[in-house]
Amino acid sequence: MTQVLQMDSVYKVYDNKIKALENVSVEVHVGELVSIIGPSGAGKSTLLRTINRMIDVTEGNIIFNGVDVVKANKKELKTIRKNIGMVFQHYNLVYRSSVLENVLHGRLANYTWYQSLFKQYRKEDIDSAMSILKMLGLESRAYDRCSKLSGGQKQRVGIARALVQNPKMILCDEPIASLDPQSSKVIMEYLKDIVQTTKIPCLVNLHQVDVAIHYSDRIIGMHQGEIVFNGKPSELTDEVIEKIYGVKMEELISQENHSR
Amino acid sequence: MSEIQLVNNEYRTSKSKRYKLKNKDFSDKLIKIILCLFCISLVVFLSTTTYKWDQFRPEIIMNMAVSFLRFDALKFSEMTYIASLLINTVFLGVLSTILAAVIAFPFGLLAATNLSSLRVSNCIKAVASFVRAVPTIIWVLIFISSYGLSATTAVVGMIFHGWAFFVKSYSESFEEVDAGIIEALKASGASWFQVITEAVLPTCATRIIAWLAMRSEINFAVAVVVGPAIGVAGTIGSVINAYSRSGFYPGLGFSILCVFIVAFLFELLINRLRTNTID
Repeated sequence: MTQVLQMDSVYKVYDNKIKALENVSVEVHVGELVSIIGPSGAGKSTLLRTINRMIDVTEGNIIFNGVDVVKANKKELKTIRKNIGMVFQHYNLVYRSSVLENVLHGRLANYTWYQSLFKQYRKEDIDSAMSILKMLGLESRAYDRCSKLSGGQKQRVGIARALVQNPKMILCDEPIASLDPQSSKVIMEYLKDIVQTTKIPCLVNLHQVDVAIHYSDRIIGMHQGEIVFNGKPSELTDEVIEKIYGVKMEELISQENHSR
Repeated sequence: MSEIQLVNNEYRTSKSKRYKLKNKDFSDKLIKIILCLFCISLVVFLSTTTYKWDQFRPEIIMNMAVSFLRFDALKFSEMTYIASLLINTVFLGVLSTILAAVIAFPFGLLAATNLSSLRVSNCIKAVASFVRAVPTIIWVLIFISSYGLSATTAVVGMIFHGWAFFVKSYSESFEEVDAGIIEALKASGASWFQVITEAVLPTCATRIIAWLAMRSEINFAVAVVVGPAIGVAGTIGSVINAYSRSGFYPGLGFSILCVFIVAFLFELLINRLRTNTID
């Protein structure tokens, strides 16, 4: 398996002395869907954002696609970000713009400032945006304003925006945390499908342990900035979950509802 | 579930047998003190001043209304003259607004904390709030020293104060843009300029237009007053000044009516834009 991402003993301490990441080492390979689970404030979001350097690390090495992220200069950083798609909890779309415009935002790094100002998008980019929208079942909404869409549809636009970048890797920051169970299922199925067909690895932050077990190839458990579990979903025992969340298995509400 | 238990306590009551509902703090006292001061001062002024109250007579108001509304005493040429001056005045207000908005736009971007560094933003905001603290008409009077009594002085003074107004309103509009949208575009490799043209501007477009209309209204009012203040010929303010000095009340009434209509139209426009901004 080809390795895409290599993080070596990464530390992150915020200005207010809060240790967000402590000695974190992660590897991600092609065609892998990796979930990161852990309580709020465990450092899941920080971990994702150090990969495309939306947050600078305090110490450690991150090699993405053969490039050192920590030491990258401005031009290299742009290439790194161009090659990493990102999906967010609150979709982060421009609601006054159309679906197609929002998807094309994923291609902005390939345009100069005046080309994007005058919306001179190339035909091949519009073609690929439309084909991705078709795959996600949003072709008929391409010219509609994003504010008209439902939550699940907005998240699909978010995924389309990440895919149109032709990324080497996709980062998802709690993609289903604001969605209802049905839409969550649709989104997770799409992500799983994308990983299996395109072999683009996907690193997903999740709050739902059962979802992580069902869809991931590998699960990383975090607790207070440290990785306490890294292995197959089948190896995620009740003791490990207790270690990750710091509470007994029975007290986790999502487990109770799904009566495993 | 724990049940709600009925309580039967003794409560503190005031002298008038009302139950105590809250702890009184200093702000409650302050409100009472200020209200009392206002009442006392009203009584003192009314009892001590020797104002000629008999001047308030209904006949005088009637007389005023009649002499103001005698538009038949106006020649048609005078009416068109006043209308052309009105258009000049509107033009002065709108022109200075647009120029101020264009100049303020880059400063507004640099003053928005989510698009710029905190230090640059604070510097620009400090300068802008100083300029804004001084009224427009005072800036116009200050610029007399450099441009003399001319229309240029009026335009420069109005642009100066309008610039500060737009820096504040624009930067606040930009700061309201969801940080997540900016993060999303940056994460896909978009440049600072692309973040602005693709995310910030579409989100703020209606608000920017609404601010433009609002400042146009303010600048129209200033443009009316600025005419007589620094002697800009060809604005409706100058002609109002001239008519009031010569005692030609029908002309004065017609000019003021024109100003009133334009101010009303601006108000309608702003309300329309505001309701459109919400959705």
